[in-house]
Amino acid sequence: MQSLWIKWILFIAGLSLLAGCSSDIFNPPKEPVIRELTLSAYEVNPGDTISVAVDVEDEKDAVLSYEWEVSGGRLIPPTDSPEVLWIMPVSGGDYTIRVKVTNQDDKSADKRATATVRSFENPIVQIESPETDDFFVQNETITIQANASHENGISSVNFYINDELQRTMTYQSGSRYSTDVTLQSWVGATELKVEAVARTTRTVGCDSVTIYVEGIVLGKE
Amino acid sequence: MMSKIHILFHLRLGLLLGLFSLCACNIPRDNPLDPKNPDSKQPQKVLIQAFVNTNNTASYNEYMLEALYQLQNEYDGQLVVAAHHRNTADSESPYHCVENELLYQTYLSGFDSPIKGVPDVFFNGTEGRVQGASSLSTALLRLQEALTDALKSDSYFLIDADYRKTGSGVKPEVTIARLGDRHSESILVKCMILSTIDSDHRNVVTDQNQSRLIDTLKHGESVDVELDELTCTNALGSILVVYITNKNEQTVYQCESIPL
Repeated sequence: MQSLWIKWILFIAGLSLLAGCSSDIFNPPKEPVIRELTLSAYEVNPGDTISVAVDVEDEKDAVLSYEWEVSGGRLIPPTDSPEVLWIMPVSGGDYTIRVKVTNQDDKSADKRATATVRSFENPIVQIESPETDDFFVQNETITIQANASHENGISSVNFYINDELQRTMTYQSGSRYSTDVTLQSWVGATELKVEAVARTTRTVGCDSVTIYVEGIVLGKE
Repeated sequence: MMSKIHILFHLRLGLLLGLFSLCACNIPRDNPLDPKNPDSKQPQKVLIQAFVNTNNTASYNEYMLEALYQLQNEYDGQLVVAAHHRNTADSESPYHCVENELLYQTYLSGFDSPIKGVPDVFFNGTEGRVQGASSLSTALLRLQEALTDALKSDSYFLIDADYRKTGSGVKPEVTIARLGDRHSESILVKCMILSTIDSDHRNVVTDQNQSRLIDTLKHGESVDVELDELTCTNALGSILVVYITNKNEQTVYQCESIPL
């Protein structure tokens, strides 16, 4: 009878102990959830300041800490808050901002966003081939090859012969653009022009070379 | 006494002359035109063959021919210009002949370019090529560039060309010699008649004969080449051109011209 009582007491004591540890075993700590990372503007002029805000959900509503990091420009202190001010760089291009949010359980989450700084420079265009003063024979097919680049990227590249549009190419990865042209309709000094249009600002850059197309009278096949 | 001195003098003179005549047998063969000289060579006379058609409205062929004749005057004696007229897609030439067409196809076989048209100018066979013309100045510029390269070449062949008049033409009498220190194999000897067609001494190819193959020609050797008779009835004047090429007619090794 006495041993039965002792067993009961031990059982009750075990249950009490288990109940004391239940919050960590059955509800492990969770990282915060970043609902949204919002920029006051996504396309800005060089040196503009924008605000960036992060919206975080944490089930314990505990104190959170914030770490901000940018790929260009600088942040105005203080930066340990859910909203910061970001002074954009003066050079055009795409820049990223990253926020890392950590809760009291040392669990963290991060998120990135991108802003574009407009560049009002003209795209840089260089015709690699053919070269100025090169000679070709009428009806010959040549390849016009050019490099085109801009801080905001290239929207389209246009190829002209004596101001007549021959072909338009849209953006492609890398900076090299080329097209084949058969020199049928031109004889003598002939201008080849490549024109590139920038993304975002639509500024235009171009390069041209003068080649010579030497006329022939086609023979019998 | 005097007669003894005389005798001695004559003996010494005879001995000296004898020594001189012995030395004369071993004269070094350093004449660059002596085929027996292993270092013999001569400047290459450049053969320029222009495939043209002046019977059309475009001026491209006229630009090219004018540029060629300017160069011919400037480099007198260093080059021969032969105008091979051929038909085009839209215009026929009165000077077209099948031999011109065959030669053009032979020359084109050495190139990847699919464009067949006139003017198309070849230097020493297919060693140089200038096709098309848009103005006299650009034609001159490009021809001059090709000619400068061609004129740098030395030739290891010597052509001695003559002719004998026949009823309606000429019978070429040609001897060729191999210079330098190497044999040559499978070379062709060809000749053609250039007939003057205007007062500016412009000429066109009016006759050309079958080539003569020479299997082997050792260095230092010369050979007489039997060539067929060529028609030559032009009142304004004609020129006989003889040239040596390799077997597939892609390289002209030497050429020579003589007025008839």
